[in-house]
Amino acid sequence: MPVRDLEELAPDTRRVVKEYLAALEAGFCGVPEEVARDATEESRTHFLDTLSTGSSPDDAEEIVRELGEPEEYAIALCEAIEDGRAPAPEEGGETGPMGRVLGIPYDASVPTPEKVRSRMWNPQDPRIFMPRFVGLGWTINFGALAVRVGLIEPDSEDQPFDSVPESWLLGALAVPVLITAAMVLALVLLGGSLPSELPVHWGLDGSPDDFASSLAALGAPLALTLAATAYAIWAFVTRTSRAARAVPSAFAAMFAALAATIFAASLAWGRGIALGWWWPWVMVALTLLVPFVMLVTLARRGRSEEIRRDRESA
Amino acid sequence: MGNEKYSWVSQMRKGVVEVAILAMLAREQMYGSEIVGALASRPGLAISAGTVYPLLSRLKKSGSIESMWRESPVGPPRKYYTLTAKGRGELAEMAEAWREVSASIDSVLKGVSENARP
Repeated sequence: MPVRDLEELAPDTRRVVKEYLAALEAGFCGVPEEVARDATEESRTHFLDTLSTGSSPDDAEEIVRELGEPEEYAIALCEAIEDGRAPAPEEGGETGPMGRVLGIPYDASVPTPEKVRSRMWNPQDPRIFMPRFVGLGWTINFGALAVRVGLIEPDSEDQPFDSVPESWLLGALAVPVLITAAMVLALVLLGGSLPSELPVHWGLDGSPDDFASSLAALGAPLALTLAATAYAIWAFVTRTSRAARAVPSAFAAMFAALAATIFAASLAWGRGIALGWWWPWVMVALTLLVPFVMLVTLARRGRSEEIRRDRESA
Repeated sequence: MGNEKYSWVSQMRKGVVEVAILAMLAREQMYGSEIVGALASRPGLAISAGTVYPLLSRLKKSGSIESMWRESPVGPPRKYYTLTAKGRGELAEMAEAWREVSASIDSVLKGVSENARP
């Protein structure tokens, strides 16, 4: 006799089915709730359709064997839903609320080094503008940019930066560290005898239009740089994949370059040096070029390392 | 319906492109953009580079294909992909499964195309 509810099954048979469904539900990591419910419901119905009141636990086990491991099914469903790009959290997958407001993506989940990596350096993804890894808006996928201008191929490295020598990764980390050190040094050498207020905002023509106390004007960019550099060092030390260790260095260098130019402009104004209309453009250029050059340098190094390896094995 | 139909086609394509890639690599070694181009030239298999490269990575990770940088007499060195023994076995299975599916679908579709048209 067919069953209409799991409760009609023999207790031992029911236990097998319930275990399967529980494992399935536990496996639905990032799947929207209604999809997970539908999928679980579908599996439950499959059991009801194929089992009868007299079915033994072995019959249920047989169906489980046909269906395959619940964990595998859950992962397959995750992938199907995410359009084939559902990386696990350790590969940069999502770990918190995200979505779109007025068509602009937002992401309030934790910016893990893996996520920073997948958004800032993803040469296999041709989209140059990626949803930002923290906050609102987009970030630049420097990997897609490098492919577009012909500096690398999307597949020139098996895994980004995996073949890059350790010393080069350390060199990348040195960039934000050195920018931070230069800011501290500049503060020590030139910080005395500054006016009580310094500019913190400039118009597009490069002339200041907003002021704050010297402490805030110099302290804020320095604090930003310190925090970004600390993040890069932390990622470098704690992560295992080379890309997750190195890309945060470029991420920190991007913030450090931005903060350092603002810091330098404030300081220069305080020392009576007038900067021309060009300097905001220098700021934008440095903010984009510093991380781009760093990442492309690492990728090109990894690429030539792979070529050398293959040439030797040939 | 337009969108759903499009999404169904692209989902189906994603599944069969894997077979197409393995089949092309069974004949000759090819590099990434060559594979993208070869797929693009076949109606029904055109799929974006953003899908092909992750697929190549996955096939390589699972051991179905392997890659090797080779110098080219013209142009830059290129990363060529070749089919492994494992990939060859998988391709044979996939081809068989595909022929079965294709024959069955053809037979159930027989006569449908005219009647189903509005």
